[in-house]
Amino acid sequence: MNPGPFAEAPETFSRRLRSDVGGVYAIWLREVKRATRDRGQLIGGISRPLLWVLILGIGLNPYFRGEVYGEVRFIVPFTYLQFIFPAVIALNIMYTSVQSAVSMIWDRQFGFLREVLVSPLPRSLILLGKVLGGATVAFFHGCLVLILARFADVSIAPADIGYGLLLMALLAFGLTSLGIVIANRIRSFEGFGVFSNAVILPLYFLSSSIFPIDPGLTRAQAVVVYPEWLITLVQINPMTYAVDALRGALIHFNQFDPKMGMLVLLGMCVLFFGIALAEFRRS
Amino acid sequence: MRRVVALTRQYSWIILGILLLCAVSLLPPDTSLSEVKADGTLTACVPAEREPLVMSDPQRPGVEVELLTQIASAIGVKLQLNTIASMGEDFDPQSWGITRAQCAVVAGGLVDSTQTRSFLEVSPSYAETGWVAISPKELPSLEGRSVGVLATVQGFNRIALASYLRSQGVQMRILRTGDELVQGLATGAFDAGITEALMGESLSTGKNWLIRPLPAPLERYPLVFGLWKGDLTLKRAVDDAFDRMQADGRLAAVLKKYGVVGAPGEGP
Amino acid sequence: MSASPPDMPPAVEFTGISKRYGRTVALDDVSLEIGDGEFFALLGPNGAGKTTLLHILCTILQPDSGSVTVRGADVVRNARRARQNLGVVFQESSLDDRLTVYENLEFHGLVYGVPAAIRRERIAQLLDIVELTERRDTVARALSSGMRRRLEIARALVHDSRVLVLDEPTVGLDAQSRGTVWRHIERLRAERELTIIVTTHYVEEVEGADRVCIIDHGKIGALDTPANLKAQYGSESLRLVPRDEATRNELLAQFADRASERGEALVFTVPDTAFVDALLGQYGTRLRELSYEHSSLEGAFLALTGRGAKDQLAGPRERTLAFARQGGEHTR
Repeated sequence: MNPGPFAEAPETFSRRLRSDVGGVYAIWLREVKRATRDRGQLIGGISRPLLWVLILGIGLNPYFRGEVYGEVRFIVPFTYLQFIFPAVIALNIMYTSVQSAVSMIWDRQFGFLREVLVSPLPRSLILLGKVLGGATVAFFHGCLVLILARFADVSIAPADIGYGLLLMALLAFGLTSLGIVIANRIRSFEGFGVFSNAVILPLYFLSSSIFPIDPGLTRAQAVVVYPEWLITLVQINPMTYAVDALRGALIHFNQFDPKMGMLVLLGMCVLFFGIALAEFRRS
Repeated sequence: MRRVVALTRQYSWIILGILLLCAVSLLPPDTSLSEVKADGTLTACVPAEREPLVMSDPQRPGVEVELLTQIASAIGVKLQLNTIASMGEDFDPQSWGITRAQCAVVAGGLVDSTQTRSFLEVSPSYAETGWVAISPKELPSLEGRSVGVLATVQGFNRIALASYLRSQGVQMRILRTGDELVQGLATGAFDAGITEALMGESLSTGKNWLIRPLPAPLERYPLVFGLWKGDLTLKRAVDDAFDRMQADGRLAAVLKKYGVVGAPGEGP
Repeated sequence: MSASPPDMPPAVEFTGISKRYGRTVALDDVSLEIGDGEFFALLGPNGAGKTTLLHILCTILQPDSGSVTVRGADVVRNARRARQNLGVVFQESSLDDRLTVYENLEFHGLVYGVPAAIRRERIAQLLDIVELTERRDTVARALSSGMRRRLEIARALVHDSRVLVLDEPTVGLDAQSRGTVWRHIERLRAERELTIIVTTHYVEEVEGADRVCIIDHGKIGALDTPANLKAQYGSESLRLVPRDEATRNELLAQFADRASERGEALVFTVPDTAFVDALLGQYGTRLRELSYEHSSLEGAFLALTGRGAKDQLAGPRERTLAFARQGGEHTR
């Protein structure tokens, strides 16, 4: 009846590797399975693009187009719908990433984390599985927005979309890691809600996601239209470059150097995952 | 089969959500097309005269007019032209003062450039254009020559042209009409005339002059129609009509009638 | 007094474990050896340090000094191997509520690196032993607390651990579920080579253990078989409620060195049957209630720690309060 003392066999490297990969897979799979059973999150992930693209996009569209040829002050060669479309993708990814971090608080409070901590799986891989799982779900939510591409007149041909998908994946990974770094500091759900409203949303809105810092003007002139402090905040916000890179990939319009976007995203991923790992190991 | 049913039930919410989004993406985002159809006419703003795109001969109304007529009938409406005098005289769009109320389509030799796209949406391109040099005899290069420049075209990069000509060390004379260019070349007032390609082609029909496009870094521009931004449904209808015209050769036929070289891929 | 053969390492060995939280000493130089295949019980009131000891064993906490080995593997230096040999069932439920019974078990198997075929087979076996096979595809949230416990016990064994650690396994369950859980633990013990380490408040559950360790204030109070403990510390006692005040005073005066008061009752330690005969002969008609308590571990516990084991149990009301204080139920 007893299938042998398998726990005593010496661990070869390949056995250990396979065991570790299986562990990361298990944690990733759990995150994904939980997400498919989370109706609330799904409803949010679908209603958000509907709200933003459908209602906000159409509603504000007329204000941003040249009703009189030559009289538009902001020279952006796209409709408003096209302009905010990549930003809505980023918004969906952001919300979902942060929500998956909330589940970390949940796990810690309700004991599931302990089950994983007493296992032989190394801490770094536990964290990796968790971040990958959360990032996968966030990426999927970002892709939900892409379904509305035809409505917003954004092309999703494979050539255009490949780079965009890569950026979305990096953004999902980086933001999930950030969410976990924040979750480590906040011990209760109420605190997290406050934080998400006070920090995450301003971070999003100040990333030139819903209004362009006019690229046709030099910085000096941009200051004349927008207050100086706003321009500065937008320029130091890393999300600005991430959203800008995504916009560049999808509608081929960049306000900033496109390479910056990729650099910022990679930096975010490495930095936040590193911090999360260091803190996780220590706890 | 049973496995598919089981999977569907498990992921039912996700599938429902995706279907909802797909359905929404098929909604019409605006009323531009339905307005045009309700009116029964497709209005277009054009300059008074613009060879060979817009002309006053009823038998030969111009490349653009003929194309627009065909597009209008594809949508199921009639074409109505609104002649805006300022469009022909000034290349600065702000002085034209056209609004959405006057026309749904803006025509008259618009090119697909960043500047145009800043204000308007564009249709597919029907031909390509750029700066050309017209001369009665063979000119290996423009260096040190005298030229007459007819630059009353919107959307072209005049600054680039100017710097190119300066780098060639030419003597420039600014012309105001096509007639001046024709006369100037005939009398030999200048060695070559610089103008936009289609204008140049039509000016030199029957005259055995040589037309050479100016080299890089001067760009080639696709010629398009302008649509107002946000008129997505109308744009889709125009795109459809265009594709069909291109497929069954009507586009090529019109271009041939006026002796215009089409977009790359189109024969002369 | 270890039960393992001389050439095998003990299942678990604590050597000089100390841990303090600020000024409070949770564990003070605790040394303990648990043999292979033993059924070991840790008894102690809240705050005695038994949960801390368990957490150190499970590598959740690090001791300030001392070492723990699991089957020879040090939990700090050879953590991976130590964890591989441990199966832990925590006091608070640590299941994933959104996954089914099967998915919970499979998750555990994957995380502990159990190969696929063995995993499937073992999960089926374990589900059979804990009688949850029909509930394979039920979401964990829908299970009763008794079933959840059984699931957690089964889960702890998916990776064929040799040491099963249970922290208050039957707390919060009704009497029938408690019996079922213990029945399954017994069955598992019979079918596999398991060392079982249990902490519990229910002293009667511990009667079947090989050895019991009573721990208080971070120190070991006693460590012996239940029988020896009962003999040494537990005593037979007579509990009676006198009918009137006069009788009470008389009893207290006559048997002062044997009497202790428990509410309105008086409890007398009984040296022999003659004592009982004499007392009853003298006061039999002036008593309202009378009961005889055999030597019990409860008594031993009382004697050693000065508190009742059950006194420390948080009632259901306290638990609900604690649950509400931490934020209550959320849907995620």
